[in-house]
Amino acid sequence: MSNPFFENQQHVTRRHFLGKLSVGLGSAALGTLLTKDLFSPKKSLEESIMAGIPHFAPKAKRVIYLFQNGAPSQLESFDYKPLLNKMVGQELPASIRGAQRLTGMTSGQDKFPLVGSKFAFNQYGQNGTWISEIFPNIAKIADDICVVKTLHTEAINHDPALTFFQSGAQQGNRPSMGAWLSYGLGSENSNLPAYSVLLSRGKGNGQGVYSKLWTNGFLDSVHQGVQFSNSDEPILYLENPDGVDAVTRRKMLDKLAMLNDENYKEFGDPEIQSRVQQYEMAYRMQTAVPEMMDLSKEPDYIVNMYGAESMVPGTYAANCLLARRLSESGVRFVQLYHQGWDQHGNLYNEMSGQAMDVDRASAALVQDLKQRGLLDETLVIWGGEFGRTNFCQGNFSEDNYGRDHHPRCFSIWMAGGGVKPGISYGETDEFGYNIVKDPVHVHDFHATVLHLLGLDHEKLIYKHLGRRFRLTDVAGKVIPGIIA
Amino acid sequence: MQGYKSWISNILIGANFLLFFLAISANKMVLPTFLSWTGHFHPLLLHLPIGIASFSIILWLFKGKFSGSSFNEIYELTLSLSAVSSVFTALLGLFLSKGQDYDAVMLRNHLWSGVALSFFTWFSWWAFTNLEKVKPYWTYLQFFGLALMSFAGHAGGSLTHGADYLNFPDKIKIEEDVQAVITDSTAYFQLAVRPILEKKCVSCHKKDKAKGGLILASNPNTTSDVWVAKHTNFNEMLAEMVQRIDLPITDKEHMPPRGKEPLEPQEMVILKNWINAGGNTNEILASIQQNHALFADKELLLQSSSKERKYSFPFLSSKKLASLNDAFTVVRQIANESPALKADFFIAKSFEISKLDKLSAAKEQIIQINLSKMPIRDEDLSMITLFPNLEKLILNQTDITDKGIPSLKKLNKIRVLSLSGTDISKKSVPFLASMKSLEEVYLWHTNITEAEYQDIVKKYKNIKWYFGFSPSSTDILPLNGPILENKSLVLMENDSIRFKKSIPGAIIRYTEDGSEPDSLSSPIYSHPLVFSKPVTLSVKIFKPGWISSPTYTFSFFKAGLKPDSTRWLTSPEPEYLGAGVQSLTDNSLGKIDQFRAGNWLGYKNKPMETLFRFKPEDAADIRFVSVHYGINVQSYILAPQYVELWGGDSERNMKLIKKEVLPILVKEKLNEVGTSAVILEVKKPTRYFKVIVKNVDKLPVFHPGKGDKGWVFIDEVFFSK
Repeated sequence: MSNPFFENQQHVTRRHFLGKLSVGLGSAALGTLLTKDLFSPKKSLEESIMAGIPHFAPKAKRVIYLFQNGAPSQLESFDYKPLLNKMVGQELPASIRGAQRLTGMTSGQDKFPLVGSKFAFNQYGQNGTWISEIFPNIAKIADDICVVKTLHTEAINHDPALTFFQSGAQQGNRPSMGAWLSYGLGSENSNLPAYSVLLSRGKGNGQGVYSKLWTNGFLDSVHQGVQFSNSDEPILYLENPDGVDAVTRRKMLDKLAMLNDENYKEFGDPEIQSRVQQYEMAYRMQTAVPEMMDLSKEPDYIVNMYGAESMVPGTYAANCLLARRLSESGVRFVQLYHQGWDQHGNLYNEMSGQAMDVDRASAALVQDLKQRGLLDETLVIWGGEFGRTNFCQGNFSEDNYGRDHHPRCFSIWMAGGGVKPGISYGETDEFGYNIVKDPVHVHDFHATVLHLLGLDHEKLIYKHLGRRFRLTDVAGKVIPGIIA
Repeated sequence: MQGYKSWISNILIGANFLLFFLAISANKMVLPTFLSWTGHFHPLLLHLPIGIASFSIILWLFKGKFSGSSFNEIYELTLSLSAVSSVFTALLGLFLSKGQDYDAVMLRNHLWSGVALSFFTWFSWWAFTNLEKVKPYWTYLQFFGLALMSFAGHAGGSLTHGADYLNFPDKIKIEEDVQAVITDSTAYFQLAVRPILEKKCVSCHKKDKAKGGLILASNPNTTSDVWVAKHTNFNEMLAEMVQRIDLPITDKEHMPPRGKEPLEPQEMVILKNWINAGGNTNEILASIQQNHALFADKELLLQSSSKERKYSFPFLSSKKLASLNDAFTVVRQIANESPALKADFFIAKSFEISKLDKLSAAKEQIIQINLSKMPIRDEDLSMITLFPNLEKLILNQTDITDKGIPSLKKLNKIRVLSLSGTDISKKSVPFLASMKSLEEVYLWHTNITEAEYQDIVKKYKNIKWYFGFSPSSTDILPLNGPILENKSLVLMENDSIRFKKSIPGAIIRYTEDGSEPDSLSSPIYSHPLVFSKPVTLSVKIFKPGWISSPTYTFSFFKAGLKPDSTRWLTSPEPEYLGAGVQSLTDNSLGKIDQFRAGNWLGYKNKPMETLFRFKPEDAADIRFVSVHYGINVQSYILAPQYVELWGGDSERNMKLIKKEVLPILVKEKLNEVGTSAVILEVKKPTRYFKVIVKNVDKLPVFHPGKGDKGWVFIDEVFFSK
């Protein structure tokens, strides 16, 4: 027999239920006052990266990377090895070469005659940095630069080595350094692309550059490098077409954005949003670029600084000047490539020519940043993808020689942006073949550059295909010795 | 029930008397190890009287809810437990205090308030059953007990956690950043040692809590805030410090003790080096030079202290921060952990001075402003002083002059000022030099002359002046060549030749006769050139103070008339067919590095022979026939051996109009790469033409392919007026 009274007691009315529930909900709500992010999804490391703020106070805010494509010889530029001149024509001792693999271009050689620099070296600056005579202007800024003589890489051919330098992996498909920075630090000036690429070509034996070097990889496509044109107009098709004024353009973009937005709501493809952002940036670039290109506030002698070629679009000098303007306007990463540094033969002539192309303008860039009070926040990097052998490739003659690829050691220099100025870092053996002190791997180089920009290379990550990727992959350590 | 009450009564009498006795003779009390060990349970036990006493008050307030006599029973039991736990807590506390170096005043407060509380709870229990008179005031009495308990508890908390533990956070003074004010006269101790002591030692070795009798505190004898130890002998103390730091972490004597934050290896080194160097607390940074034992440490510390500036101002809310940003104004935190902000302005066109005003919402936080190229005038500079913490200000290429500079006076934290590209003159220099905090000033491209630079650098050494590049008369540079604006060397009807000079002030001179242009007599290019016939120009650029450019030659062709029909008599080699025979008359030239592209026809085994027929009405117009060819000697592509032009009024009836034999290859031209043309004149109206271009039969001996046939590459044959 059921007990009606007892049953009634058990019966919970809706009013009852809601009444009780409101108390519970109320206190839960009270709780949320203290735990703000309880119901918003947990902020991942990636999301906090998206805020675009450095992890710690940075030294450098921007980078200008003067990439010397094709790999300039360290032995004719910054790594002075008089022993090679003394031992010209003698065989490279097997103990020095060790197990170093060779490229297909020299692996067939039965002799490896050592060859010294045809160019004289001198010491410059307060710390007596050794610099070759083909870089007289870089020699003048010896006190501002930090020469790293002990870079080393794993790749021995151009494409993998370049790709390794750019993306921290030899195989490609990873984001390039500039894309990582754009991702990690955002754009300083949203009216210009955060990652800009400028190409030039010397007369020396060239190696190609290709857009995979400035790829965004798996990152959002807004981080991709934007290649500038070699013509008078660095950015093509920026002008409104005839008959379209700014108002019409604005209206068109607004309508387009509405359409795109509908599309986005339907498909949710983030690329649609990127595209809308790119349109907006292009619109703002219509004012930003002409202003950036305006030279009227600069003295005529800016040409004397960078050299006459700086007025010819598409030259290295012009690109240096443009790089300075871009960087000054807040472009996070400006990458130049100067092609023609692959001296397998005819090294003497070609390298003089290549050096002539870059010497004055590279030095001018550093000096120009400095006189505007911007060098301390701009990191300038000059260097190629690997070094060159201390022995001669092909037919050896006193006047002319060539050098093959050498990954074990090579020299680059950096200036500004928190790098210790006026020093040489690391030492190679007297044959200029192996590192004897303070090696700097490409991963270490990346870690250090990120560090200078206020980023912890172990925390700048992006999750893709179920794995978190970094520019430095799973390696790399910051080199304190080159940080001011 | 009565049984437990008498027990409790007895315990309370005994324990409270013991407590009172020990409390008054605490100084002379000697504790057996066991008892001093039990003292460690004081922090555990003390929660019982707090809980039970509080509960008894709640019970009292709800007494109306109980029926019958059950309330009295429960209430009495609660009061008794409250009294018992109180007295034992107090006893254990007394044991604990022995042998520790607490601040005497604070200890006394805690001890006697604890004793009082114990007696009070005892009294409460007794009074509830035995003293009817107090019943009307019972509630007040209970709240008095609560107040007493709070006081005792607070005193105890302060003793354990420090006097300011229970202060409201706002009241905690944010310590001024010691590192921010480091100068040469700062004591090394302040820079290096004090921060470590403060962080790792002082929490236990301070005035209120002098563990082991060590107090690291302000020295009362000096007015300056120097930290020293109150120790019988300062050096002895330091020696002991080194000794204890060096002990293994498991050792009892090791400092900081296990469980506290240990010293970092670097901190250890700094402390030890300082002590080994004599432990001087007053030695200033300026006196620590190259050979000083602490020099390396000092350098390292100065470096890291400049690396991380700490700011005491609060973070700006992210909402506010976002509101300051737009597409042309970027205000960002300098780093994730730092409240400091930097502000950049872009696009002069969209700049208004009110934007600067808007940033005053973040006036404390902004430490860097970049106003490069913005239309900032002297009167706007006073707004900059809105930002008292500004450290770096960039005003490059703004419209400011000497007049505006004095309004920067209030910026007393400014370290870097960049005024490059402005109208500043030397008048501003003494003022800038008087700004105490200023370290670097950039004055490139201002009204300051080279001679004045030298003076300034010599006179005002407290600031690093940067004057940057100025052109020197000894640094003579080569000019580069002219830039041809025409997209093609083929000139259509009415096309003119246009050159551009890359450098302002340079002069372009040219000649038509193939001679080298000179800087005096050769014609100056001033406007687009128009020629009626094919022309080869030699062009050179001159500018005083520069090395003139190399000579550049450009061969221009008048666009040819289109033949009615064109026919190969000999066809090119199969891999170099170009875009067929039409490519000879499409008015488009090939590129020298693209011989495989559509413009070029390549011949090797046979000479080129091509027939051209024109409409009758065009026959009279044809005055010149130009054969354009490519050269790349290393690739076996040479100038032709000869070119023959035949003409007539029908295909069958043609006569040789002209044969031009070209010079044979010389060794000097072994690396030649380029294009050239043979131009032949036609004197009378002709409708049919045959062009024969003969390739070189045998390459000379100095060529790598000696004896082989040379190639000839033709991209165009022009028939022009």
